[in-house]
Amino acid sequence: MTSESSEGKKVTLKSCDDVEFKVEIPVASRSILLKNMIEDVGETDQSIPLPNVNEKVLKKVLEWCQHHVNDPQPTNDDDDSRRRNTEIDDWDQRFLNVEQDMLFEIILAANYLDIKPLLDIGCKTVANMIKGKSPEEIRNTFNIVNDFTPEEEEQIRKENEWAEDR
Amino acid sequence: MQNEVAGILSRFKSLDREKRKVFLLSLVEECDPHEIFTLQQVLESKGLGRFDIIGALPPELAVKIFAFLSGKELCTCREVCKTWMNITNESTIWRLKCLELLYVNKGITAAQNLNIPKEGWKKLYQKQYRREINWNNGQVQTIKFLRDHTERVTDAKLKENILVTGSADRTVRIWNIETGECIRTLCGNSFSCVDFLIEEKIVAASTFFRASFIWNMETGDLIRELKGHVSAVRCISLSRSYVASCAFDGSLIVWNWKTGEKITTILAEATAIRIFNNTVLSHSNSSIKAFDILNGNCIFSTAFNEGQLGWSYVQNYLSSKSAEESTNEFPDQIVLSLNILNTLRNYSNSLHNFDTRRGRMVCASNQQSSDILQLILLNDTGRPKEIVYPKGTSTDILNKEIFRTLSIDHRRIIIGCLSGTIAILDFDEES
Repeated sequence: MTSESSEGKKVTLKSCDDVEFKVEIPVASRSILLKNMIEDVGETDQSIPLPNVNEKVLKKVLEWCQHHVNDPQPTNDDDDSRRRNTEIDDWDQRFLNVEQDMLFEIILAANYLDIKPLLDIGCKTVANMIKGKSPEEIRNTFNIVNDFTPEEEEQIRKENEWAEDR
Repeated sequence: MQNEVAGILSRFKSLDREKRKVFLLSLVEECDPHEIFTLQQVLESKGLGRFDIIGALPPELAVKIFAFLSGKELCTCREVCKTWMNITNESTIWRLKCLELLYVNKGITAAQNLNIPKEGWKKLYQKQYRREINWNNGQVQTIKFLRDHTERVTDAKLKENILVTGSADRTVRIWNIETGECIRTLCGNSFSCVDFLIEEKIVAASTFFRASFIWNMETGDLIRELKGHVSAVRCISLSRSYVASCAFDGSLIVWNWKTGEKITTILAEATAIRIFNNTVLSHSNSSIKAFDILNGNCIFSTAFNEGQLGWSYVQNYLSSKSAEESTNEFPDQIVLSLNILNTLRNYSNSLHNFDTRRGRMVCASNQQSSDILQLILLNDTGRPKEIVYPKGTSTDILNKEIFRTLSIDHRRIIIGCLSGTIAILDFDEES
């Protein structure tokens, strides 16, 4: 992944479909799950099996980790009350410009591997697919069938009146 | 039926990849033509790459995504389908939305100390959301009056649920703004200005007759009488260690209020002052200056023609920053706040009486011998909006009053009037 001269220590990750990836430790350590595992196990030649991530997704996730290898570790402070915005930087936006099933897999993998910033931008991307759309447009975007009766729809609209700007 | 399907599914999930493949192929062999048709439709839509990501994710991740949406967008999501509606019913989402609003309005500490509300997170959020909309539209919901002062109200300060007012009727009053009850009356002289600190439980007030006083808020005991000015005092500011006041004689005096020791006397024609840590910031008609409290030296000075309204904005900006971003140098922060102030230039000179809070400003302008309240939204460069009162007798009473002081928080506008009446305009909807 990096130049020959790099003497960084590496760790081997194995996807659920048995494909192995040799990854520099700082890159793998973007995942808190892997970081803790590596710290616990110490130096080893054995590969770390990742039963929830397939080759295609793991490759994509590692590409993100490589690009963000020098980012500061996120802190947990004030997570609940901070103002939520859905801005995503350019590189990440391009990175997540993928098919919906890949986006879905990335979110699951980021959650499983505990890569908070990646999970965050994955969730933001889905949120941005919802923002500014009508219910019908949202159904179209996500291929959802409207399973409400007209009476139920009427009822929900009534319940939603509080959000109107009146 | 649900159970049977779940049983088969869990068996399916336990199979390895190869066995799954074999199972799927034999399943297709078993299907009737119309089932194949259904299958085909499902596969086609999947093939287009569009599917319900939200519904397919574990609930905690769906909640995480929804937390990025606004209250209005969440309502739209409720209309999409039953699965989505159920996810929006998760109280975690509404808790996060509540915290977010509280953080914006009252800062990080208030957000961290919020307890589970008895009406539930969603109801609480709806209430706050309605309040925000009413505020931004300038639509007052209710008006209450406090009538204990018998002469003009000269100054009013509002923090959390406590209102402190000073009056020419020779009293300072402490009010519980929720109940409208006057908790304590402090007597002395004709008062010109007030300040208070909840965390130290102290109230300070200055008089038109040179002296200033500091009381214990809870007991009403006089802690200190401060003398030194040779004319009426026009403004006072408290901090954890200091009290500073400025008088018409052009002197700004800082005391240690705990010991009574006079720290420094500075020559400054200030109309308003505010203590930040070891600095006292003063505002005059044409400049803002910062002085080091310990030696009285002027450490920063800038021309400033944005009037009282601008000053109000600057000090609110600084107090919101100093707690959360204390790493920035103080003068830099002043300059930053001045940059944002450019939009205010058009308003500051024609108006009197004002307060600003987190992007909202209220000011009163005197038109045809009655005071009109106007709302200016800082992030909206449009014209000021007129504040709209609810219909009723209280509005008629208010229209006859002359406004002397204004203060606002995230929910209310408090008006101190020439007659001694205090009006509380509330943006909360009655439940």
